[in-house]
Amino acid sequence: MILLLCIALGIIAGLMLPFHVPADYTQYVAIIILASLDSVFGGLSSMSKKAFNLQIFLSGFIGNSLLAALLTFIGKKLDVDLYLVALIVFGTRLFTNFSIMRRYYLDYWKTKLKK
Amino acid sequence: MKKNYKAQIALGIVFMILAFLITIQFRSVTKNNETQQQNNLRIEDLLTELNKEKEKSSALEQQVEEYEEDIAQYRSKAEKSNGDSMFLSEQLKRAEILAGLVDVHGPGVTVTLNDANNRKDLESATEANSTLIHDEDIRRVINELSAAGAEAICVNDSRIISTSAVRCVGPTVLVNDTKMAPPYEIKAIGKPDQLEAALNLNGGVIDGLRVWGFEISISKSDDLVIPRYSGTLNFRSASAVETEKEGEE
Repeated sequence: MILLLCIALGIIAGLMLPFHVPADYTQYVAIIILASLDSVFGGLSSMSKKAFNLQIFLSGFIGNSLLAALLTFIGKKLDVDLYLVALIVFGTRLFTNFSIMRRYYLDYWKTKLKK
Repeated sequence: MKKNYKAQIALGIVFMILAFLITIQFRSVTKNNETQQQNNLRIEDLLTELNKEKEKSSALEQQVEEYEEDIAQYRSKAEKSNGDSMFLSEQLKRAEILAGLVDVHGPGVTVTLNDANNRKDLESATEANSTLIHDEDIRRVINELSAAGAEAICVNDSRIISTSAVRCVGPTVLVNDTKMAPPYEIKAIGKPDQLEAALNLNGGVIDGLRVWGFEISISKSDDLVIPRYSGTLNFRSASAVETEKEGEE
């Protein structure tokens, strides 16, 4: 419930604010979005494993975003697409976390249905 | 339970940031794409406009040619009709030659100026600059030719008239709004020997230019053709002063 509310709030804020990202910086925002998506999925999957740690979650969220942005920046300066590193790592982890969650909830529903 | 609550809030905040970022990114990307498309559109618009204007100008040029033919016909008719108009027509011819409005031919010289060839061993930009022919150099040659009695001068077939300007625009030289690149061929109609001698004076114009290593050649010719001025002449500010001769004398 809180989650849905927060998502709605975020979308409204995004729509209401009258500023937009210049074309040069959309890449950074994209990579930060991916980093936060990764954190969210990681958090959800660790919640399903009942191993959620607030500090790890928050530090991961902030640290991953910053590191990804830094990699993108360095990549642009060196003319090497270093953001691909972040892209691949986050992408893979997204799917791994999703599969963990999937297994957990499938088991959860199976046991519930058997009862 | 309390710990779970905290986790929920943290996740909620991250979700909020995520949603915010995604929406704002979505908006930015769409907007950026739109502006880019607009830019592309603008270029296409300008291109079509340019083509239209080009067509218009060629049509107008054709019209000018037709009118000139008409004028020539009227003139030949007027010449035939009586002596007065023949005198006027002679005057008009003189004036047109002076103004540079007709093609002229006659003996004269052709001066060809080209950039210096020894560019390889140049290090600095200023040195490279000194091997290029500048507007100044062309002006000096034209000036010398005029001083030596040239009656008609053109640079790369662009006639020099009383309102002509020779100036540098970036890497090219602009004569009468026509962009030019080396070699510059300056033709002048006049007494060939006199013109050549004036150019080749010791310490004169050509001597001064040779110092820079320019490739310069002067050739005399018995019959040169110098084309007329191709632009339009409009006097917006200047008009003739009306004087009463009897009153003054």
